[in-house]
Amino acid sequence: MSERTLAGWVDRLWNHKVHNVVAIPLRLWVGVIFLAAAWHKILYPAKFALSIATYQILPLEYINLLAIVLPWLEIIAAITLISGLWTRASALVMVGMNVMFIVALSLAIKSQTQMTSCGCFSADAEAAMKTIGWDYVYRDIQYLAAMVYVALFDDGWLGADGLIGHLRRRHA
Amino acid sequence: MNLSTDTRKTASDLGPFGLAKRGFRRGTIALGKAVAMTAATSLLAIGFNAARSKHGIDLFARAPYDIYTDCPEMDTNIPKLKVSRIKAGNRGLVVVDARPAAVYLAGHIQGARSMPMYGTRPNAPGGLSYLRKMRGRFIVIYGQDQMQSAVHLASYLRQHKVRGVYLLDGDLDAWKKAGRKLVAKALGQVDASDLVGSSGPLYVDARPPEQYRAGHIPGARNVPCDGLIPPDPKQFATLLASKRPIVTYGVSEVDEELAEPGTDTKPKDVGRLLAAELIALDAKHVRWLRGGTDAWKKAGGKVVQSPTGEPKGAQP
Repeated sequence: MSERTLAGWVDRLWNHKVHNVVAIPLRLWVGVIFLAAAWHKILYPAKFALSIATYQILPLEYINLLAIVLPWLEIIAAITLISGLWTRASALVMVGMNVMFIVALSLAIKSQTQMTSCGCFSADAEAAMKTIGWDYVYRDIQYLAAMVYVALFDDGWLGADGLIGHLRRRHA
Repeated sequence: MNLSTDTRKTASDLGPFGLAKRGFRRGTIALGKAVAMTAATSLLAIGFNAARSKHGIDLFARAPYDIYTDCPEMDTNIPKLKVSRIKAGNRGLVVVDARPAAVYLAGHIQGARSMPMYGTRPNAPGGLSYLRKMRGRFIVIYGQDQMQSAVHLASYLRQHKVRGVYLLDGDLDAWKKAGRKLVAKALGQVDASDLVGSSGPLYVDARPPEQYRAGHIPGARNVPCDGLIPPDPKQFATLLASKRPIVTYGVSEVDEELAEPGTDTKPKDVGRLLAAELIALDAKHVRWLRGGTDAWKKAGGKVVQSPTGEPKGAQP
């Protein structure tokens, strides 16, 4: 089979190094936003748990567990994404979280749940005092699209993954 | 074929099927790493939370969020039974008291079952399934006229497929006007001086978790009870099933910054509220320690601070 076949073109497009360059600003953009979002939630998990409760989606018993785990997942995924360590895996974690946020926000908006804040960037629902709307969903869709791109096309060549691979090859 | 040699191969070596296979393999590896990252991060987060003394929270808790569940819609078509229809010893009747437990203890219709109705649900572990089994009987609910607790509870029961639900016409006022008697149940209390140094009772702290963590009787369990939302059903059911004598305590301080303007910010004896809830549901050997931790400390007892969760050795 020649390199000029459709499979050849797809392979070359898919693995083109330009994707690694394009992915860097996307990784930085989403990573920094998630780092900023997680900080307050880690400091005040009880307030964040109340924000989760206002969605009225999760069984009440598991609200605390999510309030404890989610901010740490945001922070670890953000750090690995920015540094380019396990790039695809951290992008997949980000995809999972964004899908969850989009579904939760959509359900809350559709069922007209009375909420003053989405709890996305501040653990304190009362401090934010901005009524949630579809603009929050569009924002999360942008993050989701960016992370899908990174998960599909960025193999971490410009990041810790690339460095580790380079060192391994030199030692080999 | 390992991944490194696979990666070096070109599209012409692999073919469309091989390319798809390589993509699938890369995806699977990334997914595996994502799952590992999530699991490791979860453990890290839980460990960090457990080590925090001030801002840590319990892993599983239901009660603080009960207020976010929907209140049952008021049913305006509930049939009513006259007081004259309620006769002592009538096996075709199940009488249910919807008022707060402390009020129930002060005086209730003889044989009435306590099912205190809160905003979203009644506090009655096993009560719903018990009433569902009472098919063919009249389930008569009463409360206090102005509180609407009876209508609220009756609506809740009907929405949860309990059949044969009726309201007592005129509520307890009609019962009293008809000259019918009420019976009371004692709420046992105990002084701190009688308890300090003794061993055996299971201490239950009814204050909010943050006040419990700041200082509680050694070995005490925390079952928050504020009279606004029902206690955690699992924790409450465990206390009901306990064979050990129980001593409840706690004077809850209200955070004036968080309180709504005009609301009561006086300290609330939540230990008494919890004892009433337990005694109203026929829990045995339950007493209430008047004065909470202040009285305990005055009597020479020590209090301990606790990070999150329950202390060891507090099993009922």
